[in-house]
Amino acid sequence: MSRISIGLLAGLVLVAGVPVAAQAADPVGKFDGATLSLSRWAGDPWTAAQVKSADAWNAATGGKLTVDAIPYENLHDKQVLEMSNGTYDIMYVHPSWFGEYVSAGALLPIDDLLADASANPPGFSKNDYLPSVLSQGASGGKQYCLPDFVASVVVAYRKDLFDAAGLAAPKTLDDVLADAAKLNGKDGIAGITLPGKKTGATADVLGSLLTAYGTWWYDKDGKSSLDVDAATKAIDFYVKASKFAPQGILNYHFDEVATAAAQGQAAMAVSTTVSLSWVEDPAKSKTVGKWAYAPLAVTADKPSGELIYWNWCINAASKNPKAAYSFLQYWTSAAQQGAVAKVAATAGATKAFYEDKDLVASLPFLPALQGALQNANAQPSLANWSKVQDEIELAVQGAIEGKTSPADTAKAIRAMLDKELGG
Amino acid sequence: MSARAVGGSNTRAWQIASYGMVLFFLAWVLIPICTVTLNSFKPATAIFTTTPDFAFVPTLEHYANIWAKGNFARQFLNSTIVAVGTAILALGFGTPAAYALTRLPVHGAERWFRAFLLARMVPAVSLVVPLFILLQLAGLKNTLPGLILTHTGFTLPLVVWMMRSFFQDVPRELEEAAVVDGASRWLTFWRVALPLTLPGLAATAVLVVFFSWNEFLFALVLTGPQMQTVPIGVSAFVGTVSVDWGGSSAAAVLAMIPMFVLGLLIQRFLVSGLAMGAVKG
Repeated sequence: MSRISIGLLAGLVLVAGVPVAAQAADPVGKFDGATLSLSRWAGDPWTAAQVKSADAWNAATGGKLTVDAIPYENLHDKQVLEMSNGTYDIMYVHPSWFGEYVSAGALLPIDDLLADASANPPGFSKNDYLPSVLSQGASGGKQYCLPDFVASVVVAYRKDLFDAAGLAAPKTLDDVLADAAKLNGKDGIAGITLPGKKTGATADVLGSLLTAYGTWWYDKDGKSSLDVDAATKAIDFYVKASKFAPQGILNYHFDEVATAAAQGQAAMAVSTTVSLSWVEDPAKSKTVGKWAYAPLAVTADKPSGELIYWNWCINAASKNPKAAYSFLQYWTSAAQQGAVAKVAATAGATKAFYEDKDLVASLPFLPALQGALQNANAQPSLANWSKVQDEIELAVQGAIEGKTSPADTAKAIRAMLDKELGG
Repeated sequence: MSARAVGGSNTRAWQIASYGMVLFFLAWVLIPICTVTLNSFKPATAIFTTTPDFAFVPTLEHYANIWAKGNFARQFLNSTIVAVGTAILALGFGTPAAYALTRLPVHGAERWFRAFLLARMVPAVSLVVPLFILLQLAGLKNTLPGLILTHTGFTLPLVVWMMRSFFQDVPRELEEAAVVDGASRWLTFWRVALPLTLPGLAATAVLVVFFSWNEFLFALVLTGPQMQTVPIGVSAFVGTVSVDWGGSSAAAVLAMIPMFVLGLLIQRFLVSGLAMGAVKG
């Protein structure tokens, strides 16, 4: 897996003034009578925004796209069951499932559609997407999916509490731990909160820490390459931070972390930019305006993170692939993602998204996200990553519970990676 | 101290202990329901507090959101159709089966009864894939009849075993008198045994409806967006990065109401039905 620093930075930071063909806001094509089904996880504001976009797409194209939104926990199994019969035309695919689906031949390559002028707005090309993010939906030289939901893991900290305690903004992971220790228990709140649930969240945080400490799960060939010493440091941070976290973090997903932060139950929070942005929502948060954000870093000059994204893919068994592509192109366009970002705090994957200065200014998480993505690895998408991820998260939970030391946990993870991926 | 005084003291202690147990289990059952109900009227910021917040300004925003955004009405209709359809089918097949195995000279009746239990012994999750394939082959996947058939299969053992107990409670002499008067077996069942077990039938029907109304796994896997039932609608408030606790609480409250009303309406039958067959000999 290659680092995405150059490509993503080009997209996120240096796009100002670079003319890029803006994507039209209207869907392309007419599909009268075509009925399509889209599979995604349930949860607003994303589902509501997509239903709205589907309605607009239906009105413009004459097609009939239905959104089937079900709980994330059941989504993979449901998609796998329905894959072969063409029930779903469009599937929202988590990175950890992407390799599995490609291996199963369940996804339709879209290179021809991307290059087809009649299937895209005038002036469009696949270069409109950030190359480093678009490449996550490619495998074996074929492009399968279009991405959205760009995010990363950062740390949020309470400015008011830091000021009151005379603490400077945390710049490194050591700062985070030291500040968490100082603030823990003051006024009955935890020093820090972070996820520990086996749902992908823990792997995302640990993945971000691994990158910060200079290692990664595997090399560019997908073979195990985890540096045990660096991994020990990353797990050690996780374990130490957990000691200053609220009870029950083994059941904390990103949602619970953000909720605890929003309710004023923690002085700091390590989570995704998406969920952390909720602390600024007056409808959900009692701590609006009290937060600042910083990327994870071992040394202050090298902020790090993980590229979190989701892929939109077309089922190989779809009876309406061109119509399905039309919606994908429409949904992932800068215009649609910009509309979603205003309510859902996700970033898009097109260059034009980051050219909208008003939009960028309205996203408080964006500077931290940009910092984190300067040195980031993408969420893994190997064929067997789903299983590997489960093992990693169980191991981390064991370390948090004190059943194994960080060093032994790192060794065990390395051994498991060697076995599953080949060393 | 007299023996009478000691006995009185013991009785009082038992009474206090009994009330204590009742209050404990009532709290165990009702506190989650009360919490969900309160949450459905709380603003989002008041739902998560370190200590429970009772001093909030009630809001109906969560209920309004449910009707504005989702297809909860459709899911309600689907659930009603499935629950009623399941009850009709399960009772329609299960009641005669229970009667036949209880009263007719069926060879190995006991073994047949135990065989019915098998369907309840296998974890539902292990049957999802075979059922998915079966319904797909039959063209019944993503249809309400398909879900009704699935629920019927799972509730039949309950019906057969409950109705067996109720039929056993009907005095044989009554049925024999009917036979002597010239009634056929079917007429004896229909005119004599069944009316006497009506409270039991009602109790069984309620349990079947409760099961079907609340069933999640099959409804999730075997249906699509247009055929989803209420539990799927409630679960849809749980996202991958967010949970709409207010919305899910409001949806849960709405889902509870029909079953609560149903329970109240047939409470009389429910009590007598569940008590039937309790005393033998």
